[in-house]
Amino acid sequence: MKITAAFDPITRIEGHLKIDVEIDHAGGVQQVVGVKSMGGLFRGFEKILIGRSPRDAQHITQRICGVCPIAHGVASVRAQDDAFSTVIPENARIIRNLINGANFVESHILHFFLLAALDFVEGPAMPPWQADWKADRRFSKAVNDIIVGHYVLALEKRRKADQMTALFGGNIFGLFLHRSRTRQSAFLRRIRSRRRRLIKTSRSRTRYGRIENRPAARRRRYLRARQVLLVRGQRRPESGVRGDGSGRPGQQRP
Amino acid sequence: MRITRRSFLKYCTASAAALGLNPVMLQQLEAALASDGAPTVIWLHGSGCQGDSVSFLNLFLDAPAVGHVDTKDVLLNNINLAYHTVVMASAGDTAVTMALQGKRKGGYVLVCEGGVATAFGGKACRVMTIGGVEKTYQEMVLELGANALAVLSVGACASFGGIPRSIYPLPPLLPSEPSGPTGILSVEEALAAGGVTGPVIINIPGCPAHPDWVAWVVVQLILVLAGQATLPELDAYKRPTALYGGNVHENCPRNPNYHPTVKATTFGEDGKCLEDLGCRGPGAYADCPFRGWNKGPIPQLEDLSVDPANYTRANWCVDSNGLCFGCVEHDFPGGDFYA
Ligand code: SF4
Ligand code: SF4
Repeated sequence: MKITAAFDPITRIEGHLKIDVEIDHAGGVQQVVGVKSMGGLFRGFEKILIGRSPRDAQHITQRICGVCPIAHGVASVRAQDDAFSTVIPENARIIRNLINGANFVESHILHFFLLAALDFVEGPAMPPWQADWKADRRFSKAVNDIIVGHYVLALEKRRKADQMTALFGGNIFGLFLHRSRTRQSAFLRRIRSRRRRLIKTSRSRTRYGRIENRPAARRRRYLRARQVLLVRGQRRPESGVRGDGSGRPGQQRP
Repeated sequence: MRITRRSFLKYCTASAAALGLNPVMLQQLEAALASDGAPTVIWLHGSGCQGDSVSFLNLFLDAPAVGHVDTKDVLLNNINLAYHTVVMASAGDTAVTMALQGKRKGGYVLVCEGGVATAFGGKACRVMTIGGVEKTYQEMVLELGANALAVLSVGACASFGGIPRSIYPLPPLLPSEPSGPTGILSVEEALAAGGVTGPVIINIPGCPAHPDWVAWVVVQLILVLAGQATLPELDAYKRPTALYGGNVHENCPRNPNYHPTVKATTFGEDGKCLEDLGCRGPGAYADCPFRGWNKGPIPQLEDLSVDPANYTRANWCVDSNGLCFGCVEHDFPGGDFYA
């Protein structure tokens, strides 16, 4: 006899997921014969970005995922580097990597403990930590308890990783990065002075920064960046950047 | 790992100033919690990034008098968190059952994170399957919102539509034409459109919402439910004025005595006002300059210029030489961020 079942929602992920499973007899053995997974959320980030200044992308794309925002921000900022033909200074690269690394640590801790671990260990006996299945409980009680202890510790450690993200990331990716930071002042002192030094010396936004002061140049750069989108066919034709009404891609205003 | 309801009280006691509680209110809170006043919370995720949940995990306090209290204490004991897809252990039908049980029992608080997608019959955001029928976020907000005591819209998306809606008021788009393709409504609008008028709606905007803001509203609600307080005062956008009353620019350390410091012309210039680069502080109403985005002692304003060596204050957007994007405002994200 064929059985179909839907698991919806799949919890402890970022996003909305549904799994449809089909179980049937094949060759005399009952087995899973079909599985479909379905993402349940569409927001249309590509559409949201159309028409905006390219530099907004690094902030908008971070809202794709609240667990791993920086990865999206970094991807977007690299795309901008390509579009603007920017060669970033060494220190800017280091800062970006530090921010990305901090979030990498944060989201890995979050994923391993908060999201994944409860499939294998028994959480505290209260909602929302009560699991309703015991499919893969291969740990002994003692080991289980240790892992639960680590789960609680992980809440604290991931926050510290988040603090590092905020310290370095505040002024490059901005908004999403203001999470907590550690109270250990010696650490803070070291990090803060280092960050200030790096930012002062790197001028990681030099190219953008200097142009900020020159409206004509800013407009040119802005149009050029829009042109890139236009050539890729991502802009709405009626919004023609060239102002001559033709809206055809690939032609640059002299 | 034994955690009691007391830790929530400890959290509230130690952060009483930040949460705006006076000793009388604390006593009342104690009474409310002792009488098992912890409300059931059903936390739904819609068109958003769940960053508010992640931000909420940063709720933190470490005060000498009470020791160390943080998210786990608050979460583990005091709110009966019946449904929250990011942290709950169960999935599928059992998870759904918990939400429905909470609904049947009544007297719950619905927390909505994420805007309400209405395009494609709401199918742009579907959240669960009940009895073989897929339910969209829109349907669940209406269904659960109808009987809720209060609906908290946490984050910019739930409060005003936020980035999934993206009202982009600059040419070439028409004014207020949203560039998000999924017809996002705020939770408030969705409830009104669905004819649900019963529950109290409180918006807690921010991208993400500050954990303190969420905790503050939860504390107020516990007090209200226990009949110990009246609902917090709300502004025109249904934001609690206690949290969203002050202007960011007026309270910004780079605007001492209402005279902004030298304007920065490029990023990375410490201490200079970022207005020319696109700072939206003048139009943003929130307590970020005081509260900051971390737990830590809240200093007096004059302390803000001190050497970073003694810098105990929490970090926040402008302080990290980043712009304030006005993430608590109804028109966030609005037009281009950078001037
Ligand atoms: S940095 Fe922004 S909030 Fe601060 S004084 Fe300047 S404009 Fe106002
Ligand atoms: S400073 Fe501005 S952008 Fe930052 S959290 Fe506050 S309102 Fe939002």
